[in-house]
Amino acid sequence: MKKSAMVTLVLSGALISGCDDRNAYRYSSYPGYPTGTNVTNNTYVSGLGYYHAPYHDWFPYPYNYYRPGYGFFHGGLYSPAPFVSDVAASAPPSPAAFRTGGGGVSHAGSAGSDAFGHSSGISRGGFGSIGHGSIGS
Amino acid sequence: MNRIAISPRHDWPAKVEEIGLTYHTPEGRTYWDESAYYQFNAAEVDILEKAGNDLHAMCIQAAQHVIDENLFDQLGIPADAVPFLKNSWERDDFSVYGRFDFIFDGRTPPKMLEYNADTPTALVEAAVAQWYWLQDFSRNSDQFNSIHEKLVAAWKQFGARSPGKIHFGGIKECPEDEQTVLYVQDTCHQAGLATSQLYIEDIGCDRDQKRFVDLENQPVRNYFKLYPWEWMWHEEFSFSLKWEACNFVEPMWKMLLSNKGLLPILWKLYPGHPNLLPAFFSADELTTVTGANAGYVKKPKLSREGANVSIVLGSATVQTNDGDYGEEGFIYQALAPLAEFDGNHPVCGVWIVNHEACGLGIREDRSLITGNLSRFVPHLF
Repeated sequence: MKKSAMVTLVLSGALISGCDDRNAYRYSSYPGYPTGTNVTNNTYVSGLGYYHAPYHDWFPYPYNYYRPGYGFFHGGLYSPAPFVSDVAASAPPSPAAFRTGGGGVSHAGSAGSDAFGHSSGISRGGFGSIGHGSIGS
Repeated sequence: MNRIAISPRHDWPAKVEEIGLTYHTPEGRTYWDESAYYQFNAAEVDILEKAGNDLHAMCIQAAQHVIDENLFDQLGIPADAVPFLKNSWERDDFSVYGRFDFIFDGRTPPKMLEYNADTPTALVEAAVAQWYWLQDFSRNSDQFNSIHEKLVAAWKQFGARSPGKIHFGGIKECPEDEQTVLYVQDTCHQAGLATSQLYIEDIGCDRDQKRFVDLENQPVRNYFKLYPWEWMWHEEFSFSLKWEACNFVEPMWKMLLSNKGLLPILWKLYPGHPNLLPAFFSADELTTVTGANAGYVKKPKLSREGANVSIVLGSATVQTNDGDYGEEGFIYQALAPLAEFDGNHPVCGVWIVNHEACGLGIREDRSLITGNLSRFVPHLF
């Protein structure tokens, strides 16, 4: 036989079975989760945290929350100035991110312990900027 | 090899969505198509398997030739990348997978169209969806498809060489890519390795420590990327690739195999090989061999989903696909013999996992150029 004896899915199987609205399915267990595809910036949902729309993800502190000695919190990091973005609402993270800890309150992480200035050496967004759409080949 | 029309399962959308194939009908067009299947015999499957194994070995030899003869410029590989690509090759950085595309009609030898060696997709369809389809349709039949168990085994080997968590990511807001990445992550998880998700846009670049970090600023030492190397080398963080601080899958040396510039080099090294089509870096060289009226396909050295591919007959371009590729130049490949089944042109994608041919996925189109809206059709034998 040249076929797999068994194909078992642990992370990716039955993810959206019988449900067209992926977000509603993923977040249905969180009371107060807003309806619709997009979530407005700084929306708070118990168990998830604050939604930072420009970053498409949930964080433990409000968007541009100011912490003395650290700076303004956005997208998991502190910066000396508030982050300015035109993105007022966006789609929350993918099923993969949600199910594996990439999203939600896990972003508390080291952002809170990163002293202002220590995180200045870290930047993001330097990959993924080429706009060819889907990678498929 | 036959194409057989059948009735789809009445609940097929729910069935394929349950196993992760959520993009079965993009923009209302059929992509997963179980209104037919391709039936092979065992000998035909053996032919495809052998072609995959032979050509993978030949591609490795061709890559060595590129390195030995310093042909990187001919492939449009940035000079900055070359020393690090060579390091990746010398280290034999671990490669998990790739997919050959063949023209095959069951009567003549498979002809290699290209090797999607860096960011192959249609994996959920080939490894999972058609396997589950077979369980419903003809459980006792066989299928050229041990991709899933080979992926799990490959990750176990990777884990032995490169301990620590593996992050997985592609670009945001692309359901097909997200599902593909999630499935590969699933196979890694089943191999017993620690995994996490991290979009390529969210990779942090820590200039002080000269390393990549995740959203919690923890080091990213292993990263599976569904994102092409040639793009990474043209982006803001390209300088950080020189730190060599992360094991990427696929590894950097795969830039050599995923480049269509390898096709003329293969033809130069193995002229007349039954699984190759004549290919050159200029149309004139090709037509000198094939004749002025034979026709050819003009392909960008780097492109995806058939973008910027043109078919030329005589002096006329008879079909062309739009796109943003071609900056690195083009190659010219002889037209493959036509494989046609009920007006459909199948392309046989043979999957290579950990250097071994182990599966088949078929995409068909009524057009001669397989694009991103070609249909995936299951198979059995």
